[in-house]
Amino acid sequence: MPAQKKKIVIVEDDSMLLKYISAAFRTDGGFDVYTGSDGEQGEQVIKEQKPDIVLLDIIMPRKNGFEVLKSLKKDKTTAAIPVIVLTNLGQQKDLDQAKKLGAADYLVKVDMQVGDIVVKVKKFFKTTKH
Amino acid sequence: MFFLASSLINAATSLILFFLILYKKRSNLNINFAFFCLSVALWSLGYFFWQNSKDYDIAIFWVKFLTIWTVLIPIFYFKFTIVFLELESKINKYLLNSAYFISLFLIFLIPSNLLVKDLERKIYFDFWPNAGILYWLLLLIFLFFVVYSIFLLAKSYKFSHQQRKKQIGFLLIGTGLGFLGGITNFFLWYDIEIPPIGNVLVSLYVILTAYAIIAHKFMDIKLVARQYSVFTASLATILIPAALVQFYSKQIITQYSFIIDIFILGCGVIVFQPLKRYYYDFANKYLFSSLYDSKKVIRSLSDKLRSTIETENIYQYISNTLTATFHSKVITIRIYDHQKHCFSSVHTSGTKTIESHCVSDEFIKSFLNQNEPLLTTEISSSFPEDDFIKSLVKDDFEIILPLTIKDTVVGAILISQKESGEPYNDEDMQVLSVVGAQTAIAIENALLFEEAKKFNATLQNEISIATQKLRLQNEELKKLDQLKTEFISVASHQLRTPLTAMRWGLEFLSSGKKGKLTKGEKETIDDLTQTNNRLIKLVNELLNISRIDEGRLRVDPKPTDLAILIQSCFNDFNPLIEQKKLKLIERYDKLPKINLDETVISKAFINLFSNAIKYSRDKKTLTVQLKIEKSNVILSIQDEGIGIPKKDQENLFKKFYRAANAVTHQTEGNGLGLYIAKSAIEISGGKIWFESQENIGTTFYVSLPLTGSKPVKGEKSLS
Repeated sequence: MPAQKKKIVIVEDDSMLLKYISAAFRTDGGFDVYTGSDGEQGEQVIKEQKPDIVLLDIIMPRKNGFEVLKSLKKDKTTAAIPVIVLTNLGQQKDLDQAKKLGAADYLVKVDMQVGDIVVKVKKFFKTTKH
Repeated sequence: MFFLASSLINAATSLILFFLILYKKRSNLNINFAFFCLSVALWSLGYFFWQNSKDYDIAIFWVKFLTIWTVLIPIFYFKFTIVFLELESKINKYLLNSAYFISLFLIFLIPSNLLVKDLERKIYFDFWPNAGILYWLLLLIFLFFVVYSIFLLAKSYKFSHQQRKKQIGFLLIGTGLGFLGGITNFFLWYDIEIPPIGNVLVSLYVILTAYAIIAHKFMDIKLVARQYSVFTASLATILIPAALVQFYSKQIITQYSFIIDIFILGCGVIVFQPLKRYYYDFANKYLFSSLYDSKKVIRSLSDKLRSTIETENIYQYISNTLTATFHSKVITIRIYDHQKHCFSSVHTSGTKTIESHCVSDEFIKSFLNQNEPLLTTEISSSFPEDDFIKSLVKDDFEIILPLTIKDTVVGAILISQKESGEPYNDEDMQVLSVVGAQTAIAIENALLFEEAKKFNATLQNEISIATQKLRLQNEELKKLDQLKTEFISVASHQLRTPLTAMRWGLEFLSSGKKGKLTKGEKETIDDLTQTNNRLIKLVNELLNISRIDEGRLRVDPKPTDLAILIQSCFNDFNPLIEQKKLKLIERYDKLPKINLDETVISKAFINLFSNAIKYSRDKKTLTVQLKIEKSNVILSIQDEGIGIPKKDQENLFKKFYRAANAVTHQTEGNGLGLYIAKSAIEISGGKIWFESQENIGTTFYVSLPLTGSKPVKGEKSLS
């Protein structure tokens, strides 16, 4: 029996970035990919799908990533879902904020190739045994 | 009857004087004179009861009683005299002690018949004493001390001046005549038929003493005399009519007469204080118009002036004090304006409105030389045309009191006539002199204080305005700072997002997931990827520079193995080193771990290594050395490259600067690497410099302290 596919929700407002990263996780990663293109929609999808991991952008319309993260951690049904913040904000204060809100990791998009992000997420599962 | 009356009058007057003196002040002088008065009073009282006696035994009792005082009167008189004349230290103590001893001895003898033998009828006296065998001793003591005291007084009178002379004069006459009168009592003791007609003279000393007190400040009890007389007059004014009303009303209304008593009492209570004030003002105006205790006045004013630094209060205190002391009609205080040369009125008692007047410099010069109050009549002759003086005369000011401190005129106090019309006497002028000196200092201090207060207020205002400006500027700066921070965030996000999209898109293309690529297509994609990477790098560098320039760079030193760090930095360049066939020589001294922020230092090293490799010629050597020199570790990176032209060397570490030959050699490069490297090294506590020759090569040196970097608080490390 093949191993169950991991479910990932990617919340990203830039359509082009969302397209590439979703494709990368679908094809290379073998993930079931669900997406949200703004904070509110993303939060809704996460609550519906209860994924194994979430990739969350910060600067988004309607609700930003920090607000979504806060909301997820408050909700008992979603609090345990690991969230990796994926952003181009590089300030220390953003990193600290993410950590404070309970993000599992913090990745700067521009510094990474999309394939590296997939590798990183897979490694995360291996190390944390989700 | 005459002797009864005279002895009663003597007793009463002496007793009044005794109480008045003791009420005022318990000084040595006052106590001694009080005892003298008391002994005279008791002698007189004894005399009265003796003359009133109908019985032999009672009469002899009173004679012996008054004899006690006959013994003590000369002793007290003598004691008082030497205290009054301040001769206590000069008089032989044995003499005084002998006198006391003999007095005690005589008093001890009084119960026997050695002094008072017996009584018999003489002339018209029923019971007159006969002298005992030792009475002559009493007479001797009496005469000796009285005469000696009078001698001392007379001697002092000759060498005294003015008021003191007058005081002694009245005392001499009063007590002299009093004793002379008293001595007439002794004749009949020895059957010399001269009646004691001189008794009435005993009261003379009281009258003359009282006059010396009132007119010539003898023992300074005139204030008490004023208070006493005012109180007595007020009480008498109420009691006499009250007694009459009570007496006659009880004749008419027999029942409920207590209502009348209560009514009278109530009226008395209500009327007493106003009546006392009226008598006080009356007494001040007509009886004791120049009556004041100068020491008290000066002391009181001193205390008041010490208690305040406000000019208004000072003016009020001075005006009130002078008005209460001299009962002057008007007192006005003027302050001198040095710029306008005018005296401006700052305070006036009474309802007069006084104008300001300007004065000539000559007047001010003469004013400065005066320390005493000036009579207007006197100075008007010196400055007849002066408007200020003319106005003083016109407004009936009698005295102008200069207020001066050293060479500065502070102002003047103008004093009009006294309400009683009396002239200002010497004592008044002396008091004004002292008041003037104190007032000048107090006013000057208060004016200086006011100036300081005004200056302080102005300063506070200026500071407040400046602080407000600074606050606003600070808020602007904070906003600007906020904008800059936001810009960095915005720049990070807005620039990086499309760059990321391009990067990932190119990655996808390159992976062949969108379809197999031709060689040419692959090359184009690689070019585009490289260009995109340059853009990403440029954005990162710009953000780094922004952090450095704004002081946001964080340095978080941790123990670092420099050799390992250098090698890891080189790892990224291995492909390029291989491509250019460069020979890498590494020489590292054994080093301890140094506290360094790896991210910051490696950024600097990467930039330096990148340059060294980029600008090296192919197949040349690259030498990296790490050695300890004194308290530093020196890293040197030597290349055999294009070198740096001399004209470019001084600008090499500036932002966006690239040497001309570097641009020709390698069009890539943004000119930020060395600026960032220098900033990174310097913030880590180190130094960076180079040596270079064009077309030969360049050696970059980095010196870092062995003690390591100090932590720096900041927002982010370098990207």
